[in-house]
Amino acid sequence: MLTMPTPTILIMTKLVKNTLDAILLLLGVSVVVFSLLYLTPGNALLIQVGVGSDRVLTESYQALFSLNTSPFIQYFEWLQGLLRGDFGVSYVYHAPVFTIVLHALGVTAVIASVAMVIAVSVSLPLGLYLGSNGSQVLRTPLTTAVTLGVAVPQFLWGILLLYLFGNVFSAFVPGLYVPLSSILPMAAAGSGSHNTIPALAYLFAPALALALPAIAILSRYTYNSVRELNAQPFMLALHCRGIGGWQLLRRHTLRNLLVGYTTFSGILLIDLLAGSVLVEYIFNIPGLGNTLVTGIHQRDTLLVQGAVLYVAFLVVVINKITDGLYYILNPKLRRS
Amino acid sequence: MNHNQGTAPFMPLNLALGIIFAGTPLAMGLVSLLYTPFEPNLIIPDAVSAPITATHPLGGDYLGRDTLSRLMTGARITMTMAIMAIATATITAFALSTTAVAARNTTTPSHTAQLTHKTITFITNTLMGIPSLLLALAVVSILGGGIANTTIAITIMLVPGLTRIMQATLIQVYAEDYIKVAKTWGVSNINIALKHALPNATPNIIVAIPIYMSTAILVEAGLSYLGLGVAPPTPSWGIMLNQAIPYINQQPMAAIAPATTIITTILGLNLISDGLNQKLRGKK
Repeated sequence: MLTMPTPTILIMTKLVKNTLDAILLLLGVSVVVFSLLYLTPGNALLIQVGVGSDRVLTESYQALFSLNTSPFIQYFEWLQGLLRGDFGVSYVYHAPVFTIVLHALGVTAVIASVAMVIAVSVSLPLGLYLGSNGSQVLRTPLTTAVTLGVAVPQFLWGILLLYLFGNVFSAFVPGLYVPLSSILPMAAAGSGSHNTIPALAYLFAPALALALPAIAILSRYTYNSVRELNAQPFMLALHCRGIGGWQLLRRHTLRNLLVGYTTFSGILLIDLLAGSVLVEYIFNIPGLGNTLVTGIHQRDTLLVQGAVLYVAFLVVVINKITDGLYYILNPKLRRS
Repeated sequence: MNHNQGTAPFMPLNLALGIIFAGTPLAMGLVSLLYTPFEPNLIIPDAVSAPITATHPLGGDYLGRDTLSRLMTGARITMTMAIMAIATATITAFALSTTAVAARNTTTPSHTAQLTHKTITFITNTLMGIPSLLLALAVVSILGGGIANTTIAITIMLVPGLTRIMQATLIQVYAEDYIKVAKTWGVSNINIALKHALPNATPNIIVAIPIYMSTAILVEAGLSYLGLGVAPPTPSWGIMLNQAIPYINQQPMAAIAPATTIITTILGLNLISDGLNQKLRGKK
């Protein structure tokens, strides 16, 4: 007789399968990243050695960065390095790419997570309010604002906020970067006084630029789902049983809503990471995006490869986590 | 379909509004082929940071170029790039997704068909692993900037997403009974794909196109703003923003004009997508 696999075994198989999928995907991405940048005409080496310089010097440089072998060998050497956490040495900065990218990622992660927290904590209540039944005075203006908000991209918000905080309110110096480690003491030292707001503006202006479009998109998603949900027969049945208010919201509306909402916020988090390229450029923040753009401008191939691969890794991880959460939040999937 | 009203309006309100919003820049671009108030790159000494006047309805920028003329030419350039990119990407994605799904659902399954399906899906998934803006950045970093290269970069960026949407739609369509019936009747694989599956998948695909076109416009503006896309002095909207931002205190209009146009276009395209969704799929 066939024995049914226990839920634990099912989850384990799923986990193993997902991990293998992710590894395969990352290998694919690494080939794309490597070949994309292998094709780049000209590189930082040529600039450093000087075009038309001594052949021996050029060759010794090529040997130093092992560029004198076939692309296949170069790819596998690069891949071997990746597995050891060695992304190579940046041609321009003469520092390990891994360290540069990790440092830049920390800067981006702070801004992206602040943006994500703002986006979720505003969009969920806003969407639930706009999606609820009953007539509200604020519905039309808020819905219009959300529709408009979806159309304004992150980098235009960035420019607007830079202008507002920098030139109109004079809250900070545009283009000056203050790291988080200095922002918090500055804010604490000036707590209650005039200095708190400027210090925090350095963190919140870029985060807000990323968060505002996300708020609009997530709110729109939320109110559309809530309206669809409210039209379902089981909601009517619940109303007839006299279930409403907080209980209805927590047990039924939110539980149904969060399945899609989580997937959607995962996609938006990836969007935030990518969008930070432009926002960091506008606010002159030395995050992942700015590192990438500088890398491209200076033809620092290894740095660009490392940065793109890092982001791809994050994308895969975020996608897998969202998938997992989807599985946890949606009992219908577990049963089958 | 519309159950609530006896007669559905010919055109939903948002579709009409969207056509007006997105159509205005398109019309501006078309007019610029025949007429612009000034040469877009002509430097007029009187117009340096000029305020809004009758001669320069949107003022002049920091070099003394007429903002309206640049905005109109920019509309033509940005719109052409976006339309070229979306057209090429849609055709590529059409070919890829149809091949992939038809190969999986062929009446004569073979290893080659399975392999084709798996390869296309794997490539799409791999490219989806790199966020679209970064993919475009990576391609531009190889090819270099300029109008043609940026358009190619945007096209490559659009293909994976479009392919995935089309593939998802086609898979749904292939699960329908009429496809099974067609197979039983011995209709050939190619005819099933082209005559039965594609027409039924079209509404979903058409609804997605305006959204992807807005992405194309945004990425063009973004790349040019970063100095990696279209090269100055060509007046694309991104370039105009890039050049106007440092002088925003002296001449805000030079930045406000392209920014507003970008927002209006994106808003218009979003509304068109919503409207088409209502009209073609009867969604509220």
